[in-house]
Amino acid sequence: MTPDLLIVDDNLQFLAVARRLLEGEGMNVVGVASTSADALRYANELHPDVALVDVDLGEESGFDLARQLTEGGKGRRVILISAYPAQDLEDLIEMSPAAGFLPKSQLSARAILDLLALTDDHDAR
Amino acid sequence: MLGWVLGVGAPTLIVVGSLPFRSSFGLAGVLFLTLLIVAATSMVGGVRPAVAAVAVGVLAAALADVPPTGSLRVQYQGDLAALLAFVVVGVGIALLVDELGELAEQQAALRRVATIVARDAPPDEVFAAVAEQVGELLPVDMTNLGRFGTDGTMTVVASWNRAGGTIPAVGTVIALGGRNLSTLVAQTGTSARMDRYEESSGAVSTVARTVGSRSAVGTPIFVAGHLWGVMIAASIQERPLPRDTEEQLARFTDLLATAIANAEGRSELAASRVRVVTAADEARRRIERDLHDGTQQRLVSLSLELRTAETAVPPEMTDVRAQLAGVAQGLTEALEDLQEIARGIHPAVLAKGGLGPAVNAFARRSAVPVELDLRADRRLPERVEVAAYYVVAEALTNAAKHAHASVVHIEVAVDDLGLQLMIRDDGRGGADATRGSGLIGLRDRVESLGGRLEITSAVGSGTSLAVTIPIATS
Repeated sequence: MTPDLLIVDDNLQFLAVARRLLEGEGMNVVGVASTSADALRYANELHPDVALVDVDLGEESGFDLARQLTEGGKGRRVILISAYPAQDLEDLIEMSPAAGFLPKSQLSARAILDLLALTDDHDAR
Repeated sequence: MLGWVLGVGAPTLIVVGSLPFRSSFGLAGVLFLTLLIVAATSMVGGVRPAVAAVAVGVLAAALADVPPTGSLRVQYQGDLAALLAFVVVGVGIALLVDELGELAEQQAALRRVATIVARDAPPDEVFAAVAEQVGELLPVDMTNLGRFGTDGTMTVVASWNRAGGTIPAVGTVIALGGRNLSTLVAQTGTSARMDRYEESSGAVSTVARTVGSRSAVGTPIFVAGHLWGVMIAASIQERPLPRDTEEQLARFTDLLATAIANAEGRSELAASRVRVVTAADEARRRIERDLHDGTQQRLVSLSLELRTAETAVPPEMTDVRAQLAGVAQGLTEALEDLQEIARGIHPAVLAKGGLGPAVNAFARRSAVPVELDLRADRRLPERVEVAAYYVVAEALTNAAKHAHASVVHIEVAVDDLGLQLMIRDDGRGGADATRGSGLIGLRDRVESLGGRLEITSAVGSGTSLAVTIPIATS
């Protein structure tokens, strides 16, 4: 079963493009948000299984939002995304409760499912 | 006291003591010895005892050495001429030696102040030294240095009192106005004196009366052409201060002006360096931001759109799919280049996670293996983090490019006082921070934050960089 997705990014063009791509690849995008407040509200209303969160939400921090989203919903998982390279953010990603990180340019249904499967394996062990 | 004993006693002793050897000594010898005593007396006790020595010497000689002996009468004109010459030369020596002594003391005091000025001591230290040296040198009981404000006040910057105590205290702000010395100097920009305090008025005069000032001299301090403040020397005696007091004070105010101008120049230079570094950082931050939010995001969206288009192409059109995949790959590589450029312009990761994650990321990327000892568990002001980041970046680049090092050891420690950074490599050394290298820029950056950067790079024994940056408590 494909998970319900929420995409959070302050760049509206990216939100639209990412939604089209992922839906085209068979994913179920239940909502998109461009601020932390919207993201938290949609998370409560739409109950997504996975939230894709940009680490850089203008003045707000995606890392903070990732923490709030995982603490606020049981079983809800967060994948951090960014146009910054993973290398630069490695420590911060490790410290965050997010399931993982995907570079924005590498975003795809396959990449998301692989990452989730990887962490499932990890959790099962 | 010693001067008087010497001045009166020694000539008597010489004249009386030389009596048994009169034939071999002669009047000239006795008078010559007495002149030496006059000089010594003037050096020890000043002009008055020295003149007394001349008087005693001439009387004793007339009585004991000049025929008829035992009487003040002088029989031969030659003897009279010798005695008169002795008096003239003796008084001359007394005055000259005293003057020379004063001059030597003044020069010594000026030299002490000049030494302090020359080693770029903080202005407060120079102010205190001048107040004290002038106080000790002149026949005064107190000295003060005041800085004129733009709001019609004067701030006491140094205060010396022969009897001890610090009234008015340094830092005291006194309103100008009324009839008093400081106000007069502030208004006229010239030296002034005050010998009667009965008619004085204003806040400054209240302070002057409190400390018992009875006669005083004030001299303006001009720094780079503008009236900076005033130096006051005051006595608790009724009698006016010596005529040359203004002149004496002026010698010291000239030195003060130099010290103040130097200090102001230095702090202006430091402030301008801070502005330059801050402005450059601000510009770089903006460029990085624009690159990230603009170009980079558009390229990301484009590459996703390309992939969306790719999925719409029927699987059998392998040529088109391969072409699209090639373009997507090219885009990804362009994005990576852009990331590299953006990171070189401004380390955005610093703003997110601070120095620890940024230095860790550096260590992972570094071409030379890095041993990292990171004790930076707290955030620092952004400018400090940026400076430390650039130091690490430059050191790692040098280690890889020029030093051909096989390992770099980085130590980062942060505490309440500031940041300590120690970077050592085992490369070939010989880095020169004074020639056109990135190290100059680093030093500017570190010093603009009040920090220090030390480079040790002997040829053949690696390069080490030690950086400390304080965190301003204000």
